[in-house]
Amino acid sequence: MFDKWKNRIIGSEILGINERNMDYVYQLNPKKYFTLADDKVKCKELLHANNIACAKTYGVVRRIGDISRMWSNLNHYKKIAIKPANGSGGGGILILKKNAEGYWVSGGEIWSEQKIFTHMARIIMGMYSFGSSDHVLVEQCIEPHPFFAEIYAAGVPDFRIILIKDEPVMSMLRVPTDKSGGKANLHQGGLGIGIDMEKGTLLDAFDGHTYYTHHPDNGNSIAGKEIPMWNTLVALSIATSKCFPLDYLGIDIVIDAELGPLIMEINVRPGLGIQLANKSGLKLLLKAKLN
Amino acid sequence: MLLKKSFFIASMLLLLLPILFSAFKYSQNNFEISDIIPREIYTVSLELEMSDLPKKAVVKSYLPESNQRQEIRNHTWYGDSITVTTKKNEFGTQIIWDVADFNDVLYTYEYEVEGKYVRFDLPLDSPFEEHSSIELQQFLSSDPFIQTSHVQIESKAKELKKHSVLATLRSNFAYVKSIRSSNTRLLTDAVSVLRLNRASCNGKSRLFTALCRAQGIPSRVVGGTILENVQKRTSHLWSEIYYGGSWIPFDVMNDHFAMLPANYLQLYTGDVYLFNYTKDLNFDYQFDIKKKYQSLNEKRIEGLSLWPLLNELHLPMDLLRSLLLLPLAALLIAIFRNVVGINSFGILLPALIGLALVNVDLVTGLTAFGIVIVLVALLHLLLEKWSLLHVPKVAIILTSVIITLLTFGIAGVLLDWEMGEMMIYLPIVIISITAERFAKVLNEEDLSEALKMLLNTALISLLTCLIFRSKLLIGVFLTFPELYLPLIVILLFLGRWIGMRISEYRRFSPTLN
Repeated sequence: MFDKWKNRIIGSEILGINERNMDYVYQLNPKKYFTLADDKVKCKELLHANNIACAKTYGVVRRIGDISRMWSNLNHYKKIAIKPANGSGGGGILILKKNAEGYWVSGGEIWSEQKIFTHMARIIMGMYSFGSSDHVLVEQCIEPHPFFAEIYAAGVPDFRIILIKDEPVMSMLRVPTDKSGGKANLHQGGLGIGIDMEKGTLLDAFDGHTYYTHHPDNGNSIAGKEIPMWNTLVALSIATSKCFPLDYLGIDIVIDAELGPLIMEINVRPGLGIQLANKSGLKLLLKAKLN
Repeated sequence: MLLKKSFFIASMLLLLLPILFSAFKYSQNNFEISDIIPREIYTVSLELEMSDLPKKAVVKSYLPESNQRQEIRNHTWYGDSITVTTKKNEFGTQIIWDVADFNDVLYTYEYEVEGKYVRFDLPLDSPFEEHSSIELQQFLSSDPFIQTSHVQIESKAKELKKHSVLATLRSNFAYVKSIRSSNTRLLTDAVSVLRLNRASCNGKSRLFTALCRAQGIPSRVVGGTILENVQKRTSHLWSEIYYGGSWIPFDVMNDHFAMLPANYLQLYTGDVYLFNYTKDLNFDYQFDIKKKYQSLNEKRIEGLSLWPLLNELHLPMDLLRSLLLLPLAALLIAIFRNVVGINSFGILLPALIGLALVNVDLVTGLTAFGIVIVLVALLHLLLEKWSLLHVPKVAIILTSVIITLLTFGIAGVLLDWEMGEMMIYLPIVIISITAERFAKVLNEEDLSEALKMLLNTALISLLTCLIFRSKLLIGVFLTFPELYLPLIVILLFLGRWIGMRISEYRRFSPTLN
């Protein structure tokens, strides 16, 4: 009786926030395990332990006193990414590359060791995680697969796959635009591109207002484009999902030019904009897997 | 399924039983809906002090009478060596204290006042009335201090007179209002006000009355005091005009045109002194006024109710409204967030803002709030650029909120700017938190998103403020506290509500079609 009533009100195939939280996030993801996905350091430990392809961890700094000792182990790399373990919205992420003279450079500026240490100290003191102390994750820097440059040259585009009980149900590719300033999030002006999961090809792109078959900034074609290593990518997402005691996940994957698909991030409350990118609702797909 | 069924049955019981109980209580007690509104009641103690008594001394004053806009009850008095007599005269009920004692005398006369706000709407094209009755002649003629037939008054009255009564009253009112106010306690007559171009309440009332009389509108001055939760010696004088069969109040000093707030206590009519006493008597007085709230009749609402909190404990209204109505405000917020899909800064923050705005003008309050928040958020953005640690940053924000409020406050005092003065009373911590959230959204999203959230917060704060302002709602929960249970049931259902939020229909409209 309840269900009949429910369907009358809810009707559509679109999954709303209330229903996502109530029927999927709360039901399938025990709260005590959220941290396995939310904390980047813990997440990577789990991934490494299960031999899941992801960016190599060069080091974790937990105390300010450890910074300089850790740094001596890092100095021989050419490119590194420094991240807060519990940052939000990309805050505090620093990408460093060595230039021809051997200096560390980020955003066209030379970064002295002193400056890099200060940045790490800030992360540990909780600058990017709202006051609570945090850890620094130093990892391998991703070099995007040439496929992405065929769509848009700058930034690092990534795939988002929604899985329920280790089964992929919907996915999209997120690509930056001139407006989004290198970021690929939908609400920051990036493009969400739907994916035909059977064929492994791209569908139309959506920027929050309009659908496009070509990238709006450069006219590169999008719709119908074949995704390289799609099957590996899907298999990687399933393998990843199986290592986590969480049954409703949004897994972010990038394709590295050399290493192929790598796990970037795991989300326990994946956003619902993916439905817009795919022009279809999640509700029926999820329900079918639930029963 | 089992859980769902028990959930359903339990919630239906919690929903229906209290409502039935409330209905039963309502049918058992004989009261109107208006009876459950807490009433504002003032206890007025008139304290008299007499020393250096001559052999026999007499003090005369006026006692308030019940009328359409004020109800006076529960007269009591204490003090000895005094004979009290009351006598009605043309100005009101006179009370006469005969003292026959050589010792100093302390005497208190106490009564309760419940006032009513009154407001009259005069028709736009109200014609001047002809008044031939003898009773009204005294309200058209000259008095010692209301010199209607003085040449200066007459010419001013002629100048201000318009085609209708309403227009004439408006021009009189505007003119007298434009005269500079002073706080002198000296008696000022109507002509002196014209001459000095400054006056206190008694001068302004006399001039207004004199002008009306000269224009053929019967008018009189009324004496009394404004009821506030204080001890005071000041009395107040305002005017009344006679039109369409009733006396209509005007207080130019406090800008009340054809209306009077509920806290005006009328003691007498006519241009007389509030106190008369034997020469050489060392006499002093003060009004000790206490405000409280209670039900119309304490015994009327029987059965389980929260009225004793008001009737016996005399809880202050501000405490009572946050105690009783926060659950309702929280329900409103839950509906806005989970059903409508409007996000605000913080979850209960709008309710706290609403509570902070209860006693101030809403538009001014919200504007002041907005200004401070935007200013502080800009500073926050700057701090963000300098990458400070979280706790010192929060402390800086708090300090800058205080500096901002103090600046506005002092500017308000110096420039006589009401909004500025008001800002000093804004809640510091609530503003700091709101400003921090605003800056965070500004930082992570963009200006339009931050402003949208700020507007949403203002909207929800405004609605919660309206809830907090409702004395009727306070009365409802005082009388029927069992209604909190159905409120929880509604929240339980909201907690299990998985429907699309209204805002999501818009968000997903590209795919819904």
